[in-house]
Amino acid sequence: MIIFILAIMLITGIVLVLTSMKSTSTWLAGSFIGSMLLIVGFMFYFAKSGGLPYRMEIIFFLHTDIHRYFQYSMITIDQMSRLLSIGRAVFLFFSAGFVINVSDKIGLKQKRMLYAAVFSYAFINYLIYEPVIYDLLTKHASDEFHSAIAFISRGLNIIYVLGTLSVILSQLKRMKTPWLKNNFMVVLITYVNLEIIFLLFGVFSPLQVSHVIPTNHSFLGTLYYGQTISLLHWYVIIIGSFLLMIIGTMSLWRYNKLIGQIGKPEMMLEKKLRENNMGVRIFTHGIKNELLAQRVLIRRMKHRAMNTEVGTVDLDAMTEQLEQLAQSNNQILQRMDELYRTFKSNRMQLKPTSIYHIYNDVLKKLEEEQRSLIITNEFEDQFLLADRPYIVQTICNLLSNAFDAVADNESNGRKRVVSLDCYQAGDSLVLQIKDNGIGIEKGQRQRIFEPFYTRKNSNTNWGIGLSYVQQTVKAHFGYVRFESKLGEGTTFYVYLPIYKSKVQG
Amino acid sequence: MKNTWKPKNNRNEGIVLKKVFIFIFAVVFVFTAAACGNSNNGENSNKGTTSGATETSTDKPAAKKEKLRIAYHPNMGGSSAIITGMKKGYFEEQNLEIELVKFTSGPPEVAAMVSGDIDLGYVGHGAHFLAVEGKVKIISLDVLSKAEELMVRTDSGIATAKDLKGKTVATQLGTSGDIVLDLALKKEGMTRDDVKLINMDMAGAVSAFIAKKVDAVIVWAPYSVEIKKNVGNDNITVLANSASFSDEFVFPASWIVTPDYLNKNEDKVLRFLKGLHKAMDYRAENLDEVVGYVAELNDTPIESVEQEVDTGVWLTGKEIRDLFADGTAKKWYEQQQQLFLSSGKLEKGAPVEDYVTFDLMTKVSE
Repeated sequence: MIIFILAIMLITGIVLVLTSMKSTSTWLAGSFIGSMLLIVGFMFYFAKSGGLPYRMEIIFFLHTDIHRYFQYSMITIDQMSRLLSIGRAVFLFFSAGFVINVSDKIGLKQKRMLYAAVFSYAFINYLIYEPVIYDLLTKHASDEFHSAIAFISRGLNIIYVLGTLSVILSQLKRMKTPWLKNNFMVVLITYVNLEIIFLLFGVFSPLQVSHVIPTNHSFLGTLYYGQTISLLHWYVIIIGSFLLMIIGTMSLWRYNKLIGQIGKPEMMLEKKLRENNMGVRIFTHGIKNELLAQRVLIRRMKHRAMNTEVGTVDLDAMTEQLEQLAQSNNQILQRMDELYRTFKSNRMQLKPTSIYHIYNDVLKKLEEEQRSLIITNEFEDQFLLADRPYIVQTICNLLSNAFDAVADNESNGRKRVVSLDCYQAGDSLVLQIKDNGIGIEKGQRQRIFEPFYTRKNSNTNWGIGLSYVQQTVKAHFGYVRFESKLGEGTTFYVYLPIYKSKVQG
Repeated sequence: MKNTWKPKNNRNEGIVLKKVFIFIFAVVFVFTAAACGNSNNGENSNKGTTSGATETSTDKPAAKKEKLRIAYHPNMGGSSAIITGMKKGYFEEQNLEIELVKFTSGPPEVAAMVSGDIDLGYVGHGAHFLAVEGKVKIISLDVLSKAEELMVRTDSGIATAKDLKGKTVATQLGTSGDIVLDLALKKEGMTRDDVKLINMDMAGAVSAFIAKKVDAVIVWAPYSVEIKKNVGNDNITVLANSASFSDEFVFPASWIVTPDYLNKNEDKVLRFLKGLHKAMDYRAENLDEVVGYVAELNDTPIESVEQEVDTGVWLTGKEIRDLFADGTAKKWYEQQQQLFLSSGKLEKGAPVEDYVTFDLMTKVSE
């Protein structure tokens, strides 16, 4: 049965390392390898020395052929013991490394020191139980001395495991973004599961097998003879580990993908936007030419109309209509110019900008009625690297959508609620624009960021609001997410990397 | 344009599913933990009542059977007495239920016993030093073994133990293989420093020898039988075996118990001993039948178990009690202790009476 855990660790470990370039994957895969070495070490040991009740032999080996394979392998007793101590050290190092790696509270310099510290701890752990060294260390020693080493070693490892667990738990607590947190939660449960496996094989099983000392085996009954952990528990642990390993790995993969989008927008996305950008430019350019041609035409018509004899046409009406056409044409041209400028000017000046200032600008731009409607929360000032007018326009666009979405609320007997919140999530600042409006239909969700896609049929809306938002946020090294429920409302999250927090600044 | 992230709602459904899943697992784990606590309490209370049950069971033999966890070795020496007793119902007569745990060598077995997980066990003579050290007590002899053999390939050019100088020799330290190696080398005026000793379990040593990774091995039956079968009897030279030293030493295999367990469960141990001796009586008379039991228990071919029969002296219960009573057993154990001391395996000795329960033996025949 345990063979299944080994297999899944191997497969998911390889998949993790191959498919994800993120270092968290490597750290987790390293923890898998450590656990695998430990388990394989014990498979050798129990196959060779015996000591397992029959039912546990099935748990460990599943089939007599596998049992025989391990029993008749040519590994020496020292090598078996080494396998255990290396496995334990690898797990200790990589499991703590994983925690250090994902923690955003630890600074880069501190991280390096911590990596060095956990490496030293793991290495010393290996050294003590390296058969050659252990032999020198305990030569002529009493059983009490062996026991003392085992006791200290077990105690420290338990503290170490609890330490890493508390760090990773506090990391989870710090996470505020729901979709990141959910993924991380599953990763965390997988991690806890790995620690349980480690406690079973790395702490409470014999610490070494090169020197047969009773204290080494003091938990054998608890673990394998059904005194505390029964067969049922073992099945639960094995099946649970098997499933968790798969789900956890998938979650980490997804988590990494999401995290990856924070720093560096995904290649696919970037390319598509570029193509779109090009399309938009060509489109606007074409339309502009068309409209210019129209304008000439209209001028000629106007001219001709003025020179026509009185009485043949209703001149007043015609002039009025023409005037309207000209106005609308002008409007289109203005719009086009605006749009063209938006996509043409790729240069932004990113400067450290206080989020307070951005906030104030946004509020100034809102109409009186909107200002009275909006709900904001208190937050600490942070500095972003931002081009202020652009980012202000971005938030205004999102707010404008939100106000549009809640426009009909009162006629449906619901209060209009639009909120603008701001909070920190890891290294990012999250601007959260939430409304309780009509929501976005499922079918539309995939398309709302497309330029010229709009569900508001009016001549003042060109459907470039959200496309503009995404372009601008992307240029600020951020990204946009949204959640929506039809008839309940929509929440947009704008993630922008924090340049420095006010406290530090 | 296609968005790279999926519609939020789909993900939400995914998250809900996942949450349910996680919840189920959390519940299972919590229950598991709770059950752990319960079963632990149960175990403790069981242990508490065991001694009580022991007292009552002597009054009322029909009481619930008491469980004993017994360590055995998967060979003729280490399985024959216990399996015979089980098959013939001799332990049931003593109101005992036997649960077997297989060990391939003594030291890990003694470690498991001392940690309180195994009640009684069989050990070959190599592990007896652990009794001298006070970790376990010897309650009875079993077979007198000649099973250990120091083997090389005939075509290796090694003809005597002297030729082993600088060669690789595989055996498991702390076992009787260890002892036979020391004796064979000592005879040639050598020590184990003269050879490259590889500490390997029996099965590993068999593979290493067959694969020509080592020059020599010291293994006992049935592993020695397995090697002969694989390499061919013609190509095996036995440089020494336990029988080579039988003039000076006897190699007793014994049944052991931890001092702690014996103190708390003397009655149980005594009843076990009674059943065991009865099984030994039966074994001495019906070796062919017992071979079948052993082959069945260890899933080994009957022919190879049959070959093991010749490697031991299969004493009866009465013979053993006599050997204990007339001081012969004591003499053997003393000699054995000397051997451990001279080979450096033990740093200091102990009186045989401290670790062999002669008084318990007198109660067996009562």
